[in-house]
Amino acid sequence: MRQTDQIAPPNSILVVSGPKGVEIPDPSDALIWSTPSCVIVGCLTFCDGETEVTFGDADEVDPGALPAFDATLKTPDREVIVWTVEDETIFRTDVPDVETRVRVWANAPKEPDVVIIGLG
Amino acid sequence: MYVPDAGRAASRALQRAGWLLHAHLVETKLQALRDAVENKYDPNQPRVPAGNPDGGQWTDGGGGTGGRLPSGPGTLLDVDDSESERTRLAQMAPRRGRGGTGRIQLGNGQFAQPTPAQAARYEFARGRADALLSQVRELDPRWSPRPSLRESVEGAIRALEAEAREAEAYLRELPLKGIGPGPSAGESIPARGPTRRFRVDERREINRIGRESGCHTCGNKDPGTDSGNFIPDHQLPNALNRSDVRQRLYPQCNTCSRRQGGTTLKLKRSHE
Repeated sequence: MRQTDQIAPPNSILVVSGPKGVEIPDPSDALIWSTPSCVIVGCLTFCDGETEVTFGDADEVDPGALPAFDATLKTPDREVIVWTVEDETIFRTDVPDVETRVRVWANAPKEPDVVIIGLG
Repeated sequence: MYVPDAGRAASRALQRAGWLLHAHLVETKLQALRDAVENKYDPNQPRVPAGNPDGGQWTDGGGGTGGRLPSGPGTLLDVDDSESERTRLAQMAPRRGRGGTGRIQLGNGQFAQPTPAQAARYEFARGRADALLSQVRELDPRWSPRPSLRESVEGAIRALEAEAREAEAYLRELPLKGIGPGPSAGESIPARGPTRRFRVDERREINRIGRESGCHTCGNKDPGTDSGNFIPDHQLPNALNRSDVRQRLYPQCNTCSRRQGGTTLKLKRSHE
């Protein structure tokens, strides 16, 4: 199910993971960095404005461009949440498997103000 | 980094250490007196007058009694040196060691009785290590120093000193990752709580400070944002400010802000 929100997350990053057993990746200068259980996605600098974030099945949200990130996420609880450094949950959804393909599209290489997170 | 409880703990530790050092001084002076008495010290023994090259030295010039200082109940030398008295005095003192009653527990589970000087050093080292550890654990509750050998009182003291050094090194490392004002921190402005809705004047001031002293974490004078604005960074970061310490805002660049987010996530996960 497609969900969309306008947010300015702290530290200008969003976290995509399951609810438990999350291994946070080491900080990186890249826009997106990850471990098998966690993906961190950079957004527009939080104090400069909001980022439009869309979350849902990849079939529904795929904008037709090459994704900036494409990998498999461990989802042993069959749940994926999108949350912030300050523990605010932005989106959550159930997934059918213990591993879920995650694709991320962004409209800019450094400070995207449009981010799309597609599952499956 | 300001952690109020750690400051109070350090202050208590210093008070305890001061008490023990004082006790040690008194004990040392008493021992010196006992030694002097046993060596037939006589306070009435004449000294060479001042101005003489040997001024202040004892002479054999007669007049001495050759006797002992008065001792016994009610006198300066009314010192009960028995084991039971030592134990009683130790119990009166603030808790000196982790073993209680002044004894220090060693790594093998045995307890050792420190000398007063060792007790003072142990107490000081313990207070310092505890204060630093509490600061670290405020941010990273799972952090532990490497285990050290504690097979003697001296070993226990060295282990505590090593713990303190390790905790200090860890605390020194965090500002390089955006946790705490960084090495390039210059001026800052007070934060109006954790809000990230900054006023125009706050952003202007943060940009001014950023242009002068750079990102507080890395020193870069280029904020790395598309807007050209520095990021007003709360210190401590909101996500780690569980004690509601009054925060300040420092200019930070985009790269350091994101990296700080990653470090914060890692530290927060260690709370769970």
